[in-house]
Amino acid sequence: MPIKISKKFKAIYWIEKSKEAFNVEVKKSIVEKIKDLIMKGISPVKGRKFQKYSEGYLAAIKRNKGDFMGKPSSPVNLHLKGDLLDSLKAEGGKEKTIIVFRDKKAPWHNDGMGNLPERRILPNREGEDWHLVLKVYIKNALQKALSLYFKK
Amino acid sequence: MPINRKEVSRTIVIKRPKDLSEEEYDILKDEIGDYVVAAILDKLGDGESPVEGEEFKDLTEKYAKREKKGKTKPNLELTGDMLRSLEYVPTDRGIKVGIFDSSQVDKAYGHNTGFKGHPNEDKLKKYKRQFIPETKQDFDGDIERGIDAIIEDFIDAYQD
Repeated sequence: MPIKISKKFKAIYWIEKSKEAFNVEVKKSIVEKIKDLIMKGISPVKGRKFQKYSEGYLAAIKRNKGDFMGKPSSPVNLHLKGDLLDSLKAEGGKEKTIIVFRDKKAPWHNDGMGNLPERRILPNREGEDWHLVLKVYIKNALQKALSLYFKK
Repeated sequence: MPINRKEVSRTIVIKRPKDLSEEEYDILKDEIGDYVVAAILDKLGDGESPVEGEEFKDLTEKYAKREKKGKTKPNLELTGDMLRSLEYVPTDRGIKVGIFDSSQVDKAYGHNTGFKGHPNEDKLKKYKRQFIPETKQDFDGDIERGIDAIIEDFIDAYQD
């Protein structure tokens, strides 16, 4: 039945296309959304909150000089010069997307180091997951990608 | 679902999906609670109200210059203490989301009601910035849809 075969191929073709579109959409927007959440003081890791700034750091923010100029004392957003958040990238091919921070300070924050408290910015430990806000966002991106091909 | 001087909160009734055990139902409540708290902060971070139909007035330039390094977008963050105390508590039929910390309730009550009962209420009511819905109000559509999506995904996952 040639018609059946052609329909089957068409469906597979559109599923592949949707997958590609989803990956493009995710790569484009997930990085921006993670940055957006961190800038608002929301950890992208499920169940985690960013600890408050220390009194010494708050005092530096209040002095409003140098790198601290214009920085708000709240929310806690891991943003000073912007190196850390600018280093966030989505990498990988068609099949998967890898989210990675390239800045050396990322593990210092993510795992805590010296006087820096742990502020989780990537769910890279066993049992950890992305925050549901991000998952809902990704689901919306998927729906958007699918609707490009299946609502026509 | 009180917005009063003791707590500023909203109850979200989560109907227990059939086939979910009590334990699974508790996990679902936690998932939704965790989501709603972050979704409220997400909206506030954009200077938007998480309550359907509500809008935030910009900060006055004078106030912004004095307290916010010139930024006029309102995000209800000054010291961060009030929003840091935003939390959820599970109830028998769902969750309650809001501010329960007695040291932060007055602030939250003022923002949500337009400073009802304050000696300068007439002057201050224009600065109402509601972030917890009243009984007859809903959360913003994005948040409501997010809650539905979480329930849907949760049921799918537990039926597999």
